[in-house]
Amino acid sequence: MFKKIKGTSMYTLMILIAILQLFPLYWLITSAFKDNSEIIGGDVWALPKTWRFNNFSEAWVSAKVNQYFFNSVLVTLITLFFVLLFASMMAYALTRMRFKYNGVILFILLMGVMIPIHATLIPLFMILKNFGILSSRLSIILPYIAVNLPIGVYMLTAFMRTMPKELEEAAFMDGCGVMKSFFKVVLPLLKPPLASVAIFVFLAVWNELLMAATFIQKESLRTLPLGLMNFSGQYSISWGPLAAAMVISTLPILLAYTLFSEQMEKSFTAGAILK
Amino acid sequence: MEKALSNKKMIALFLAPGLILFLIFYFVPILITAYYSFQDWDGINPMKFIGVDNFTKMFTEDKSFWQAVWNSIVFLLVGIFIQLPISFGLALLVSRKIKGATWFRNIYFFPVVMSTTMVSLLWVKIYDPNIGMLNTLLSVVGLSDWTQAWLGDTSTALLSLLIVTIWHYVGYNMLILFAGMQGISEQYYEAAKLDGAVGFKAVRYITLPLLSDVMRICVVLNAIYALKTFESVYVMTNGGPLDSTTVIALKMFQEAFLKQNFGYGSALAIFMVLECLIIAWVLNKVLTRDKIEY
Repeated sequence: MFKKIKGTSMYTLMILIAILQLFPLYWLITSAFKDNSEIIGGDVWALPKTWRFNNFSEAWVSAKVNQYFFNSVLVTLITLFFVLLFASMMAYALTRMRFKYNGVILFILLMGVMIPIHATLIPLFMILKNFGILSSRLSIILPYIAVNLPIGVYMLTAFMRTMPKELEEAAFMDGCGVMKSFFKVVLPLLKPPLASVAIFVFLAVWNELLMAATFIQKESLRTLPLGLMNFSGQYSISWGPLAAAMVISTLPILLAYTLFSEQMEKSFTAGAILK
Repeated sequence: MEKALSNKKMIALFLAPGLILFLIFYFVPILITAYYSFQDWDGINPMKFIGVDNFTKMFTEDKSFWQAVWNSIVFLLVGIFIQLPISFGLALLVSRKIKGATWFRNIYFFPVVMSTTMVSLLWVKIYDPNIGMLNTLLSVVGLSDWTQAWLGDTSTALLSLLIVTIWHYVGYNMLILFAGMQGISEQYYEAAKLDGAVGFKAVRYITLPLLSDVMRICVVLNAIYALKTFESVYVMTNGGPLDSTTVIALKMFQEAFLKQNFGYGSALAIFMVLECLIIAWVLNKVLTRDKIEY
């Protein structure tokens, strides 16, 4: 009897906390379909009287969320590709190749995991300015690659150290060169840790604001977080379109989370323990 | 194979692309920041070496600096003493073998994957005195005396920011602690059951001690996150009202990119790096205990 009451009260507690975590998101999503008169002084629990999709079209076109979305996708994909490629190449060199400065390189990369990116902003601004790329997407892509490499290299080297070398040895026996053995044998085996790194980098880049706010000078190059921040300044009065814009920019994350929640959780735990 | 793998050209080819990017766009800038921190520079006119003047100014003249340090400490303490215990409680809840536990875990964790910008913009609206749902909710339940401009008042702004941070990140520690709890063998609990240790006693004498390593990671992680706080403050209050919510990272950003004080901004950045490294080191030192064996 006592146990049953305890069980029920635990459930109630869990549900209450779940509501606490979800209610702001519920409010966001319903607001995206409401107009101001319905939001102000209205019932916060209520579903929209009529589902107004024009908030979405207003956000997508007039508030240029389409452009920000495209920029975010482009920047994220390019960064992802190069982080995955370069990090696995470095991890391969660090675990399989023979040279002296192995330890030094790992130590330097460790600084990248430990030291906050804030400490790079001012000189980076000057470097990017001198390279003449402050007004292009490269101004954030290059730093994003650099910032995300260390965690990638660390996750991948940790995995490669435990990976048996027999297959690679066999590949060499068959006359494969280093290149072929890396691309044909090693890379396919790296899929699980690469997925973890990819998720980590995807979220980090998709959500990044500090560097974007510092380096992006042109309105047309803004990524979603930066674009939405400015959007919110302009549309301080009408909440509906902003809510719609926020729903749009969170959708890819929600989608990824529903599809790969387990993988995502794994990747977060691995990332945390590395730090 | 040996020969192929010690080929210098190959090694360079594999290391160079990543390493060069990392050095130019991460490592070297950190060193340059250290150099700038001893200069007086507006980014246009020639630099002037001024020794430690930037740091003297920081510690003695700049009043909002200490406000920023204090706020960082508040973020840190709340992260460790309020957020972490809540996360621990959640981790216990979702590791119970009940129906829907995975669902609850996913729900509690989801805010973590949302961007801080998005979460902050959302909460700006939640706190908004006109359209916000918080004031509306308070009025509905008869607490209309409590309604106010949460982010616009020096007495509530910092508290409001802290609540958002807890809401956003409580699932992160939960997940790490949950993963740790999965690693504790069922045997311990069964043995403890025989000795009459169930419920809270089992948590106190088995879960907590065996999780001490994971706890340490969480404490260090929370501390570093707290000291690096930028986005939420930048988006929600921009440090205001009257600097009451400012943090070091925000001050650095404003000094450098709004006031063109690149030297002073760099000094603030260096302070932040040292603060992070020292606190991480101290926490690791203090919290590392001898491994517990049963």
